Amino acid sequence: MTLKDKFRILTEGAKYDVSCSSSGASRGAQKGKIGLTNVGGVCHSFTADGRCISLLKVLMTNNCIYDCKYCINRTSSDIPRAMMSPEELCEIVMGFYTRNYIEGLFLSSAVFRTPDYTMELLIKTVRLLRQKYRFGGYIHMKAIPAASPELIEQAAMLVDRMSMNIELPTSESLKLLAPQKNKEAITKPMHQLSELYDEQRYEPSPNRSLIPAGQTTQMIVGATPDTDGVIIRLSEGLYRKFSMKRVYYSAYVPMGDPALLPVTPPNLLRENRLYQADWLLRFYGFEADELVPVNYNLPSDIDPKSDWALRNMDKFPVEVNDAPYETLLRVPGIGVKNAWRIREARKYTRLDYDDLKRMRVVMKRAKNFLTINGKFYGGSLNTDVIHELLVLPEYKKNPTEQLRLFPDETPVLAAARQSRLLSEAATESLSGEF
Amino acid sequence: MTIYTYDGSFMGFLSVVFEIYETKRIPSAIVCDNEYQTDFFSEVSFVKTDEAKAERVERKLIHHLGNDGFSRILSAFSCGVDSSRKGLIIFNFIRLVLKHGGSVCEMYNLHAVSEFNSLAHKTDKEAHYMQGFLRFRIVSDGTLIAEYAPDNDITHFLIPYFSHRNAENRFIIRDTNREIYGLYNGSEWTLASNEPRLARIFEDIAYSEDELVFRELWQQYYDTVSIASRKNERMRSQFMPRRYWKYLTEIVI
Repeated sequence: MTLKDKFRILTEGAKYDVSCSSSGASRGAQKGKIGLTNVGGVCHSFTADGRCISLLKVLMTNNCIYDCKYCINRTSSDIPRAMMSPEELCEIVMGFYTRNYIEGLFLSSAVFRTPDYTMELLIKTVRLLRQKYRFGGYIHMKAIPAASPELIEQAAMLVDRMSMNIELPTSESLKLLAPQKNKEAITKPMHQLSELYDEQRYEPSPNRSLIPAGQTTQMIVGATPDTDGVIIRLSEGLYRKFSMKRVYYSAYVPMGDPALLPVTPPNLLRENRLYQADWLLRFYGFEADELVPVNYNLPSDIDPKSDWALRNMDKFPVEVNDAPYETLLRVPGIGVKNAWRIREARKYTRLDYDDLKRMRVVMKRAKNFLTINGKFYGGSLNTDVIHELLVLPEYKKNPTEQLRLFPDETPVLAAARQSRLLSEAATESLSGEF
Repeated sequence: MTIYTYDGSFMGFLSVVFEIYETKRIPSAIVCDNEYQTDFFSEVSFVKTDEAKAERVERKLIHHLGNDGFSRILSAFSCGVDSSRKGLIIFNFIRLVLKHGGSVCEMYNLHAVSEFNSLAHKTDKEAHYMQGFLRFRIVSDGTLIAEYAPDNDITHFLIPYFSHRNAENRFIIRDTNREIYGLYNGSEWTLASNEPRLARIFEDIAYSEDELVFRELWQQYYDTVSIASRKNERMRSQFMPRRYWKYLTEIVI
């Protein structure tokens, strides 16, 4: 097999891991090292599916001992298998980096022989890259579930970010679709990564630099009947308990065992709504309880922030010149940047309608929730009227249709979901325990 | 009302600012001397670039805005719109700063501030894009060469960045819109313009041995990594405008 073929197979196997950013570490150029990191990350290219390429994302090998039903690399899958040598990988990384194709490396792997064996292989590669090739750019390494703590820590000292994919939101789904993995295999290393990251944040030591960009994780959306309510509460728990930098949501792409998994095309709208909700948790001060009940999905026709506003019209309109920053953040049409700009600008003067428009506040939305110097510029305070205004044309639905159903749900899946309304899984997630 | 003209350089522009404050004649426009259009009512005044006077203006502005704030003025000046549009916008902002101090930067509602921010933002955004989109090719003697066609004059922002990122390489970056070259020899960087012998380097290129290997691997990587069922051309063009595709190694047009 040529290097080109191997490389293609190992790229193909890694592409469903959507975590890609090169942000979070600000390491300037160091003497004797090649490369640096940018704290905000750099996007080098965008693929035909609209996603950013910033790192070289590749598997060490796609030869796996596990048989997780949703995964393209599962042992029962009939695909060609390959493995790269550490030297081959390093040569490609350095060649790409020098030519400014990439910011760094995202190294993952199927579980080959044992978790520890795989982890040692990854560490060997990354150590080679850091030491012999003197690479100072960004490295994101996956942590293999059930790997031993010593190896996790060794890896953390060499790389900028590590991640461990939760993939499935509840331990029930895990039992069904990835029976060889168990909950502790994933949560234990996550907990350790969180402690390592906190250690270097609060007690930094020049000789011990551990995952400066923290850890992230990923969840597959749509492979199981789990609702958005369950997913978003899990994310909230992860952000709070594990100092998680980011949770990624990946719409399930059919490639798994058709007996157990849906064959519908990926639900990109649902994925988008989850990201919107995730942003509200992280940057807008929302809590999961405010966004969606645990047994429901986010509405598909309207974004979660507008949905919240319409359910809480008693809190509106607010006066733009007096409302506190946290309240401004909750107004549809005002984003984080503009809430901040409004707060700065009104130190010097009272703002009027034209000022806000000039500052690029989305007045079409915001005017329904604000007064500006006491005057209300919206048409009406009636919820249904505003709802019609805020819904994008492509999502206008028959009003009698129930809006909170999982859009592509089959009767079988719906029945499964209904019966699990107050299941153990949901309660588990509520308590923050995955 | 006076139309001020200058040689097109940043120091020239600051010299005009100095001149306006010295003569107290209200500008109706501030333009490059090869771009202005005569106006029946205004008189035209060419201002020679005076380094000492320009530096006085620079020091005053840094005093009010800090180094970061001043570099935004340079960003706004580097914006690719024609000089007639940006001259007055930048001057009006400077006038506000000199009158009220650095706090005007927080008055986002003011017309002068938001127009100025808009210019600086255009330039800074493209400079950030180019940190990612610039592609080097390695020629036989190990030098890295890159070509790009930016809307704004951002080569002087990119050179210091790449001189840190690729500190051990020699490289040449060519702005094909303006025939400006950024050069780095492994320890120092410099800018040059209109150099035919540099242009020739980009014409008859002898690549290094593995250049074509890496290019093929990269093109394959780019095609493989996309997920077919998530195809979204509109999103791709939104994040990566088509006018930049010409010099991207991975997109074979």
